[in-house]
Amino acid sequence: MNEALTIQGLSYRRNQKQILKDVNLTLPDGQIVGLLGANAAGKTTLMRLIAGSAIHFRGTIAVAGETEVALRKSRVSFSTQLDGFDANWRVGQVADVMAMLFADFRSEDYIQLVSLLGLSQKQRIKRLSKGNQRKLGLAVTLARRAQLYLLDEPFDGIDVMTRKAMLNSILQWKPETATMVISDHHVEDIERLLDQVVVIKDQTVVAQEDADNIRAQGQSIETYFESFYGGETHD
Amino acid sequence: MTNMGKVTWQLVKERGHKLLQLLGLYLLVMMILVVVSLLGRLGASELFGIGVSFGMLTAIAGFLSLAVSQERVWVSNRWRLVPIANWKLYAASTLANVVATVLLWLLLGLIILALAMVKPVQIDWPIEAVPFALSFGCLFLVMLLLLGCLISLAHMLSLMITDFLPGMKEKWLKGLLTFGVVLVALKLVAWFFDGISWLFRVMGFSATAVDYSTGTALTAQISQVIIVDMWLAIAIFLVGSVCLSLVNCYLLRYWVETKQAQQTA
Repeated sequence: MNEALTIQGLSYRRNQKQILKDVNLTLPDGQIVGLLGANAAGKTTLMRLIAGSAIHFRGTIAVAGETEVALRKSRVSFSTQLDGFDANWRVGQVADVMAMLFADFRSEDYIQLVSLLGLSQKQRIKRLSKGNQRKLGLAVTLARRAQLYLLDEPFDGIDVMTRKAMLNSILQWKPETATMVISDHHVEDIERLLDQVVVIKDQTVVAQEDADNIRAQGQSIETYFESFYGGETHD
Repeated sequence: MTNMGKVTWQLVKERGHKLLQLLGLYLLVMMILVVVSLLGRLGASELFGIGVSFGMLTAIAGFLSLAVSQERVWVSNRWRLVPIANWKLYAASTLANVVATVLLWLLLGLIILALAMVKPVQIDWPIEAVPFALSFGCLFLVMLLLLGCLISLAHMLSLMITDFLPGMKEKWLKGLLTFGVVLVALKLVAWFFDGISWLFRVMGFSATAVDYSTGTALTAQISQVIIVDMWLAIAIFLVGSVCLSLVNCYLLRYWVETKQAQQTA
């Protein structure tokens, strides 16, 4: 099995504050990984560093063996790609632009995903509710044929029905060999999807475990996660 | 990896679209003025004068709009996650601004020309003024390019420095720092112009070009000297722009990160 992501000795400081310290992590191909941690644990920062939108770090990050930042970006699809799009644009227009800028973007997949998630091609981005904007972000992310997908709290502020539709899309559209990292602090949302669990605490990765091992011990993923925080993980 | 040409084309399309909205507004105002003029309430020279003045305002607004779009590129995930080298993204964005500016100027020029044809106006321009106008246009374009580079430099420096500051003090310090950086940038521009004037004097060129803004009528002999001066100034501005761009590319590659919490806009 090849490695989708290899991180060695990663440290990151910003505003005189240590956010990540000596992070080491290796993820194999074809997995769905839960990146779990309390608020402000560094989950989003870690994703930003992997994707290449945060840059001033120490250590090495390799995606499918590639450390050079532009090549790394070509292999990662990050759920914040929608940030910066003109809010006046229509949902359908996003596909044309993404196809122009990302060689691995599949417009036909995007159109199917948008339809599956109940969005209209003609709707303007600014008219979409928060939940629908999240759906759009998911459609944009999954429509790329990347080797590593990073979904940063995709279900934040989303109702139960929408969550179900999004979870189904994730299962249906993730390429078999690609790895997907989903960050969340509401573990129950993603519990059933996960192959692996990575826990971030005290600015570093404190645990990496197969989800099946946790389940075999008769624990839920949520209980396993909360054991690191003594039950104090929520907002 | 994404092709630089595709990124440039996409940026030109998006920025061109914004400028077309400005141009639409200009056209609307001009159409109203033409109607007023045809009703006899506005003379030909007045119509032409308003057209030129309002055209200049539109060009300034266009420059500001492009500068804002350019600065958003450095901090938006949408552009920074595109798999392309940082220097190529910088070059694509700068080139897109130059192309969009030239297109705006050309369209404004055509509208003003059309305006002069609707209500013919007497303009006393010798044929020698054509190469002069061309050189002046290039000089102005390169000056805007340099100004754009300076704006990016000030923006990127402020982003870089505020990343080092403690989070608690960041907000008020950021404002203070940005103000300081802008002042330093303005001082740098002043030094740059002093340097150009000094270079002109040392090389024995006439500095008439700098005084042309008074609108004095030109003889063929003088304009020839001015044109040479202008092309020298263009070369100097270009070198200045390239130097600043190198610094900007370094900052973009190693220091400038995207904003963490963004809305689609």
